[in-house]
Amino acid sequence: MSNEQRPENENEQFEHPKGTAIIMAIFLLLIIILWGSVYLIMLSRGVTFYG
Amino acid sequence: MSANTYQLTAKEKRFIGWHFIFAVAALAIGSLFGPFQAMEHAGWNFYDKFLNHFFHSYYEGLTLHGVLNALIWTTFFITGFLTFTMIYGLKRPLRYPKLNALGWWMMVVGLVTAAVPILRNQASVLYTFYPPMKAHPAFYIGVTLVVVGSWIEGYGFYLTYYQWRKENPNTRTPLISFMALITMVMWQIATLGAAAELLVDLIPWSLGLRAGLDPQLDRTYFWWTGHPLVYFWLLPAYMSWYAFLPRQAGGKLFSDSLARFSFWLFLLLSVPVGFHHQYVDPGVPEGWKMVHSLLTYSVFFPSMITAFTVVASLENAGRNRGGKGLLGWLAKLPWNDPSVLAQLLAGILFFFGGIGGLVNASYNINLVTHNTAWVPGHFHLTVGTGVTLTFMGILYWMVPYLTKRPLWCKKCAVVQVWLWFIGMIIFSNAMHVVGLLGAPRRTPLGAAPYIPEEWAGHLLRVGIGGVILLFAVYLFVAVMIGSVLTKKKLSEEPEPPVADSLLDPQTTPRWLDRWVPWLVGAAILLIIAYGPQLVYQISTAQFTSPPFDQIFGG
Repeated sequence: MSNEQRPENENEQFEHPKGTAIIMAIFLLLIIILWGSVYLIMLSRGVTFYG
Repeated sequence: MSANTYQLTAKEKRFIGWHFIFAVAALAIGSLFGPFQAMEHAGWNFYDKFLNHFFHSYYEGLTLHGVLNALIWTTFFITGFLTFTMIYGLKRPLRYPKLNALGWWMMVVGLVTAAVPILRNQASVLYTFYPPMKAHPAFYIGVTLVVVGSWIEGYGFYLTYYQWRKENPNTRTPLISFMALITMVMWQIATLGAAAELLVDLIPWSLGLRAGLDPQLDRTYFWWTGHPLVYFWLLPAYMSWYAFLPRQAGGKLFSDSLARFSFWLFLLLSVPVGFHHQYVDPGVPEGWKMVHSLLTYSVFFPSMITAFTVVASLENAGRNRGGKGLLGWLAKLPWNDPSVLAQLLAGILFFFGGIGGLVNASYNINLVTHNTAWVPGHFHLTVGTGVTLTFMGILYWMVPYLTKRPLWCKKCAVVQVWLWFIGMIIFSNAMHVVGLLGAPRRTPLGAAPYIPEEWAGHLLRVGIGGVILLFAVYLFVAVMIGSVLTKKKLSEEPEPPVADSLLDPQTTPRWLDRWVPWLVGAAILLIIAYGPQLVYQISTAQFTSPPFDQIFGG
């Protein structure tokens, strides 16, 4: 860590936010599943082609 | 009390408090009609049975619900909250308090002016007031006064900041004031569209000075404002999640730089996206819809920065409180604190609102959900919970701070938050599902003869969710009133829970505290995204559409 980027309290330790990474991964997975389910509903209603 | 605190005067606290009183009053009245609509969907039509002596139509109630909850509750709360964050963050009084007082009074006069025609069923045009539906001129004038009043309060913030900057040329702008300023600047850019619509078209038209309008052009003006309006609601909630919630939970803000960067991106990207509300408008070329679609997706980036930074700050808090393992810190968060609980549950449901938002923003699959019950299901997760439940959570510490009285019935507040969360899950899930099945929005479904059997169970859940939300909102109002009227006094002056950052904010890069490049960038992006289409739509406009002012019996 550079001198420019030091914690306000020099004795403070902070860990990498591993739990946050897990939560974000679950969120991304939910996005794919839920967005994909609406996409499949759209496909099930038929597709319109131009030309 | 730390050296970082600042004492607001009693007069300043009163001024802020009056914003919240009007906000909560608007929420209390407006929220009455939401459950009536939900119950109407379930087949329990109180409009015809009991309310017809006072209210003329379903659409009068829907307009009251939308205007009071989406426009008045939010705008009054936000201007009050931003006033607090400007004064407390900069640690100085407003530069011209009379200017801010003028803005406040203009908002109050505007509210009353708009409310009268709504209550007389002369403005049942819903909160989007799309022409050619025509309202009484007082409605448009009132809405304009509310917006201009909020602008004037914003000018007061800018002048206060200017004075502070002169006195502190090398200091990073305190985070809460920085965020308040960006929120107000974004709002003032965003409302240029509504200002054009109201001042050039709707007010002269409603006064009979213009014969007709071009609804397509006015929809474009409206959605210039309409989508960033969502971010005007959201950014103060994000302010709380970034700058207050970590301290309330027992931790620190994970990254001051990421917080500031995300707010700059919201300023840049939240305005030039309006055409994603107009995917089915025939007068907007597909290419421009696609441009706005891509820009809408770009807003996902600062949204994810926000999600990451806020959750990482909470992880820091949970670990400070003894949490172990990958997710064990979650259980250590203070779930019994109603203010924290409200914001945590608001955030959880907002995650799902965000996913629905991505569906709405998608050019092709938007066609599945457009104008269906899915859309109100979606925005009750965003503004109805992500924003509203967070604002309730803020008031759970703000009211004791302003009044020096303890929160009345803390357990009631905890129950209230859970009721809102459960009621909204039931209501919103049912609205999403029935929307996917094709149920239209803005429709008194209880009176519709075409309801298929498969909608019935979902519409019942809409009604049940609405009833639970009704209890939740009035429990909130009861806690607010009880807290203001209680005779108990706190022995010490409460301290606003402003979070420190893990890193010293003075180490935040200087380019994240400079206004000109970001404002120029926002202007350029707006000109690119809207300029050609506005020139085209204005030059080809056909001001021929006659008004529809009797459509709802008004």
